[in-house]
Amino acid sequence: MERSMDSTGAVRRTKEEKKLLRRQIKASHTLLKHEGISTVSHPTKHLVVSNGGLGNGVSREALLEVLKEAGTVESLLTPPGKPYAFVTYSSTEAGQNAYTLLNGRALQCHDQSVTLYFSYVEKVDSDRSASCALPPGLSVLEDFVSPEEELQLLQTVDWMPDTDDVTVQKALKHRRVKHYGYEFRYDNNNVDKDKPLPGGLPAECDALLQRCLADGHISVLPDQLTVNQYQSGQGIPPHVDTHSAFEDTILSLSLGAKTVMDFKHPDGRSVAVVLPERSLLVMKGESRYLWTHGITPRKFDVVPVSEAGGSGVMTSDLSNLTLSRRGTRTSLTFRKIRHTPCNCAYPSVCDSQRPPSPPSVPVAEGDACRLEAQYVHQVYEEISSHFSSTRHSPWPQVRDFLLSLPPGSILADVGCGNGKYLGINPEVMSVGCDRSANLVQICIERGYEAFVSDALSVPLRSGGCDACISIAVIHHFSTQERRQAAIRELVRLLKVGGRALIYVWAMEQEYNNKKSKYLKERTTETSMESSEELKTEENKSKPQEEQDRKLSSDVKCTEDGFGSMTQPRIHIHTNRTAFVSQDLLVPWHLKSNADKNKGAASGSTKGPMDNTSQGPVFHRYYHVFQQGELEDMCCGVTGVKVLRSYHDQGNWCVELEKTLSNSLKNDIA
Amino acid sequence: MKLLTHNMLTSHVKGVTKGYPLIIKATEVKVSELEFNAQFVSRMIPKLEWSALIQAAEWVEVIEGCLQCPESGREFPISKGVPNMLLNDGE
Repeated sequence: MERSMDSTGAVRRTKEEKKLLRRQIKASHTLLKHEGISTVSHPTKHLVVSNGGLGNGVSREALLEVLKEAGTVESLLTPPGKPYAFVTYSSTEAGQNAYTLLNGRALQCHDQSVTLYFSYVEKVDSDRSASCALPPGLSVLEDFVSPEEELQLLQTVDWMPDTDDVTVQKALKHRRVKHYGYEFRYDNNNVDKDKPLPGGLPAECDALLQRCLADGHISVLPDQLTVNQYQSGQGIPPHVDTHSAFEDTILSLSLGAKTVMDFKHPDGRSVAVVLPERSLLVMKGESRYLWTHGITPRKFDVVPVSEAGGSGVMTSDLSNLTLSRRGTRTSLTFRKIRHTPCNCAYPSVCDSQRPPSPPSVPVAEGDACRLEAQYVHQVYEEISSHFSSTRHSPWPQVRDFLLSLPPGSILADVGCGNGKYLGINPEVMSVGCDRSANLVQICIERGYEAFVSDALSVPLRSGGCDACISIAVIHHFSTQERRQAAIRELVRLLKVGGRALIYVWAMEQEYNNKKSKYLKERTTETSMESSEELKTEENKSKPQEEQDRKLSSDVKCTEDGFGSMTQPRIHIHTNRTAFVSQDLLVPWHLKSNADKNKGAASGSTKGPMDNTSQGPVFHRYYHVFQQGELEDMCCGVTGVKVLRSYHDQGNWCVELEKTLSNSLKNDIA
Repeated sequence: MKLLTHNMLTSHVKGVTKGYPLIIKATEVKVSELEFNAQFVSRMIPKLEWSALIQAAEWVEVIEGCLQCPESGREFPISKGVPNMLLNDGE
């Protein structure tokens, strides 16, 4: 930098020159820090022009005019949305000339003035002009309607103050909308499927819809039309059209003006697509279900220079972009109302495949029972066969406990699941019980003794058991009172001197600097919750809020939003990540083929069966225990002493001994 | 459900004080041949409620039927060998 400044010949710089130098250094730092562009101090024929970018509202033509003053321009790259451009001159001398001559040049663009700063770069990174394809399932059909049809359709949409009752018209914050067929409600981002608007779709749309049908773009005629009108500078926030509201294919006709629609994949990929006037956008499959689409509110779009009204991705050739002033665009979006839950392959963004609104942490007994019935009992009943297929290896320390029991001991396994502990010690008379009849059935088929019962009311006589185990059960109770009652019930079953082993899931999945198997194991299937491995986008840790936002539809992000909730909701856990709260809903991805015997029962925690590889998602309630919590709870039960308390692979574990006899109603000994 | 399990089971219907032993009403039973394990039996005997065992001895393994609370009369169904001891709300 010093050397190049010296080339100006000014040893004593004026105040203006110093200011310019400071600004220029700052600009080159910004480029490095935010864009990874390294500038060099020696003159080259390549320069980066800070502030001279499309993102700053500088048009390609205006910039080129200035650049030409310094010499012959070989190429000019104007990356979309960026506040800079790259220019390559025919020679280093010309580059040097531009550097000295044009640095600090003010450029008048539209309504504003920008100051250009130049820095040398070694070369222009051609990667920056890498092309990207359209999102899968997306197509733009140019000139789908004739200018005459366009005019007719625009006249059909009467924006006069609404007097008829066949449509619903609203002025939203950022655009005007009008609905035909069904009203799209922006409060719940859905439609009242049993309240169609009289009149249906305008007859003027028939011809073009029949054309869509004949050309195979759709297989069934749409029954809902939303007309949006965007003035220059208006837009629509990124959204995915509510899955449960509409069927797969969505058509959108652009009338009056072109625009640029931004498509974004949850992994961050972004594609800007030009929608020319009179073109039809067809969104199917992945582009309809997974990618968000939106229109950035602005007055100018970056479009290909080749101006022939071309559609498609416009990031393919950076030397070929310029600005286009937006006009008033009217879009006609045709959708087909969906009458069954969505069964797409993208559950992470599907409102049909996740609980519509997670329940809040219960306080009252009745709420707790309802929560557990829905998010524990019902779920285990439905996932039993898949669940059982993932539960085969006993945990070593539980096995050790069972093998330590003297021959002839009577053991109760309260919450026995598929009975994987009932046969560990054949010298012991083992009886299991579980809330899930399907899981008990599996135990019986394996030749074990088991019955269906609730862990809070076990129908075994008091003091009859030499040992009890409760493995991964008590964390499913949703209040502290119920968790402790479950421990009291275990103790009731024990004879004096009998021992109980209790395992619950730990909040601390990292203990003594060691990560639990649950956190570590992302592929093998031996740990407690191993089958909950997700193979979708959902597996990446995302704040809940972000997931909610992804799910939001139309104007949800700005018009209502999730901030209005007052009740604390149970957090939906992201599998294989650390717990962020103690009360959680943990997703279970049902593998359909493992669940052939499943009944047709359906609950709100359950998504529909899927015809692709991805099964429905269930959510189980968990209360994960903090260090000391289980032990404290056990100490609060009379007549027991804690023999040991330990952490085992992400679980808190306590071994108890019953010290005092309790005379309860069922005590017959 | 085998007799040893029956010997452990009791009615847990609210308010019931004499819920033991449960009355067996079987429609399908199975006799399973087992090798006599003198050691196991001798260890089990002191843990069992003898009177209940004698009473139940005429049944062997219940596949279909029900268990009935001797006091309240509440029946708990046994289906495919699975006794369902779940109570309804308020029971």
